[in-house]
Amino acid sequence: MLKIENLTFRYPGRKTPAIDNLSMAFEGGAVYGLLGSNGAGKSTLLYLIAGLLTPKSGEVTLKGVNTRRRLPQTLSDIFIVPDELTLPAVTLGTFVKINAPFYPRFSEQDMYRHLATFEVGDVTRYKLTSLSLGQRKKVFMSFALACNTSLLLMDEPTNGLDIPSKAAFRRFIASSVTDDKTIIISTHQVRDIDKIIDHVVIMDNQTVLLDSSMSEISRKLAFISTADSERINSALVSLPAVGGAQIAIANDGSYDTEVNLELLFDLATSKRETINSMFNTVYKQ
Amino acid sequence: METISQTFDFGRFGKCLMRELKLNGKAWLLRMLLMFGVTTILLIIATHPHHISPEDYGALQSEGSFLISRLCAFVFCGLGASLFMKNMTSNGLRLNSIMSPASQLEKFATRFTICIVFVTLAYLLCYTLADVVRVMYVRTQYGDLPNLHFFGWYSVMRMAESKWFLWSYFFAMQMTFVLGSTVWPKNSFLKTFGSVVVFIIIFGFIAVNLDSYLGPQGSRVISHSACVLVKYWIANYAPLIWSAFCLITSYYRFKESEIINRF
Repeated sequence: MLKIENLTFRYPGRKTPAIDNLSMAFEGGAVYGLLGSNGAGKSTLLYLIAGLLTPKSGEVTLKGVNTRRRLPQTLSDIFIVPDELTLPAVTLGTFVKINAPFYPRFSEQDMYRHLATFEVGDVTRYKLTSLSLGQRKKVFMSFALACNTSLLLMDEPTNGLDIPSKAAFRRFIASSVTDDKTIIISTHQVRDIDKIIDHVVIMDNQTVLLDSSMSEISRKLAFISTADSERINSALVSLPAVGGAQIAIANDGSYDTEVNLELLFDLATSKRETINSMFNTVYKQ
Repeated sequence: METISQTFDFGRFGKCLMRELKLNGKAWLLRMLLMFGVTTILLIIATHPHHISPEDYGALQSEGSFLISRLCAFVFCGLGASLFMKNMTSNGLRLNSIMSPASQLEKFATRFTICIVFVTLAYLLCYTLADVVRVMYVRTQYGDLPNLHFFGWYSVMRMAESKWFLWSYFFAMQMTFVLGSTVWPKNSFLKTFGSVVVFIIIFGFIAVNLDSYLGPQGSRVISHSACVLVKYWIANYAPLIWSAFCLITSYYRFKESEIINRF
C-alpha cells in the first residue's frame, strides 16, 4: 500500500539529514505505531509521507503514486491529523458540508458513530473554535476517520485527551481498522497505543531502529515483572517497578507476554546491535 | 505526467470556492462594509461644496471623485490582493490548505478569484453605492446644485485618457501585492508598499540620470525619438509584462509554499 524507498531529507541550514536513506513498507489493514524521542524525525516522516516536504532523494508511493506529486486523487486518499489543530470558526455541520465533498468515501454515519465512541456529547450546535482542545481533537479525528481514506496519519493524537478519552481513543481506532486502511500513529505516549497497534516502528537519529509486527516482537522477546535480582541483572533491559523491575528478555518460546513498548523503546535505543541481530533491522550508526 | 483533470477540474474549483466563501464569507462581507463606509466618507469630504459657488461644484465633484476613486481602489484592492496568502500564515492553516484534495492550480485560481476578481467587483459596487450616498447627502444638505449628479466608476473611467492604461496599471498594482503576499504572508500590504516605494525611488534615480547622460539633454547617445519610443513602451507595456511576471512567480511560490516554509 505505502512504500518508502531510499528516502533522505534535510531541513535547509542543517548539516545532518532529518531522515537518512530510509526504506520501508506499510501494509493495509494495520495500525502502525511510530515511536521515537524528540527530534528523531517522526513528524518529518509523516510530512514526507503526506507529500508536504520534498525529499532530497528517494520517494514515498501510495498505491504506486508518488505522494510528493500531491495529485488531488492521492490527497483525497490521505488524511493527516496534526499535533496542533487549527479549525475554522464554523459549526460541525458546516465543516462537514465544506470538506466532505473532497473525500468520495466520506460517511456522515461513520462520523457520528465515532463521535459517540468518543462520548463527545452534542457538539453540533457550537462553533468548532469554542470547543475545548480535547473536544476539537475528538471531532477532528472522528471526521478524519469518517473520510475513509486509505492512509490516516496521526501526529500525537492523544495529546490533550483526558484519561477516559484515551480509552475511548483506543476503542475508536480498534473499531475502525479495515483491510483497505493504514493508520500510522506517531506518539510519545506509548501506553496510549500499546493495545491497538499491530506494528511498531522505532526511530532515532534519522533512521529506523526497529520495524516489526507486535506478534514478531512477542515471539522474540518476553516482557515480565520480577523481583529476582539475578534475572534483572541478566535482562536485556530493565525498568524499576514497585517490588522489583520490569524486564525484557529473549523469548525462548516459553513466554507469551504482551509487548511493553516502554521497555522495547529502551531496548531499541540502548542496545541497537541486539535489536539489529534479533530483527534484522538495517540502521546506520 | 499529470492529466488535465488532475491539474484543473471545474468541480473541484467550485468546491474550493464554496469552501472559501463559507469559511470567510462573513469576514469578506465586513471588509466590503468597511470599504463602502470609508469610500463614502472620503467621497463626501472630497466633494463637500462649502466655500465654493454652486457653479463650481461640477469641477469639484469630478476632481474629488477622480482622486478618491483611485486612492480607494489602490488601498482596498491592494489590501484585498495582500490577503492572497492569508491561508498560509500559520502552520495549521497552511496544512489545511495544502492537504485539501485539489490541485495547486485550483487553489491558486480560488484565491485569485476571491482576492482579485471578487474584491475588484466588490469595490466597484461599493464605490457606486458610496457615490449614491454622496449625492443624497449633498442634495439633503445643499439642495439641488446645478451640476450635482452620480459620478459612478464608469464616469471615472471615462475621464481616463486610456482605459487600457488604467486597467493595466490597476492590474499590475494588484499583481504586485499578490507577489508581495507570497513573499511576506504576514503584514504583506505594508511590506510590499514599502518595497515598491524604495524600488520607485531607485528606479526614478537611475532613469533620471540615464536620461540626463544618454538622452537628448546629455550626450545624445540616444536620440529624442528613441527616448520617446522607450518611454512609450515602458508606459504602455511594462505593467503588462510586470503583471505576467508577478502572476507566474506568485503561482510558483504559492505552489511550493510548503517547502519554502518549514513545518
